[in-house]
Amino acid sequence: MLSYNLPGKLPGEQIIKIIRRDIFILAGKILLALILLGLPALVGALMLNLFPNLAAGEISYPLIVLASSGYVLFVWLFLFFSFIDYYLDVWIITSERIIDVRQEGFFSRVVSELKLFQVQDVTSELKGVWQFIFRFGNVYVQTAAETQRFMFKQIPRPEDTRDTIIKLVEKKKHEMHQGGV
Amino acid sequence: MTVDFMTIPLIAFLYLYLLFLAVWLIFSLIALYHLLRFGQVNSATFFTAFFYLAGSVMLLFFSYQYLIPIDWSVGLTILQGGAGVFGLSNF
Repeated sequence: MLSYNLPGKLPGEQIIKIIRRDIFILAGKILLALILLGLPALVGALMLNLFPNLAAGEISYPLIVLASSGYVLFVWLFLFFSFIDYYLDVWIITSERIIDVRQEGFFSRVVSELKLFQVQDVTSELKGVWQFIFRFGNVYVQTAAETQRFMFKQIPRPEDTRDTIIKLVEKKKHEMHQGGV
Repeated sequence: MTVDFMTIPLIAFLYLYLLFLAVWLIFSLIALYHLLRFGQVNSATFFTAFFYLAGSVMLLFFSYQYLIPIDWSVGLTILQGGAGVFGLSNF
């Protein structure tokens, strides 16, 4: 069973799907962190090879240690926060609504939702070579209100998510008609 | 001819590093708080938090090991027009 602390959980509400960006996006961030670690390490090794006295100097050695330690700690935090940014950006499809939770930087968190009966149109999109090869893309959910358009960004298999939403919306509208609402 | 010089105590760089460490620690705690407070309630969340903490402790431990034998009483002398930055006469 899917577990998530739903904001303002409705009675009888069930989580159908929890969606994050494609793992390819996270892999890109990990690769960036590896490059950020690897390149300076390469330059450092080259410098020490050219100037071996650098590692023996009573001034240069402490400065190198302090700078290296600070830099590695910074990249480690960057990597951790990249993961959090990926992990906490989440779209939750429930039996009643769609919830969009976005972590924006360290101090900003946006939660928005729309009810399933408000949904008018659902569009999935695969754009570009990478998205086509790795099968990730966007899903747009349009409501009756002209400006409101939900976007599931860079999610895996967007067609499946579109189908799931369409089925849930039809089911919800059918239930409402039967209930005379 | 007089030579103007300025000496920066090496420990000043250590204090700068400690200041950076304090800021790093605050941001780490905020990130951990976000993960545990808003993350999904599952083992992946707790494993990630643990992995980050373990990695951080390891990095701090290695840094400490490298920093502990250093003599912080020396000063970095900057000569006017010279390059004493590296404390090496034959650099």
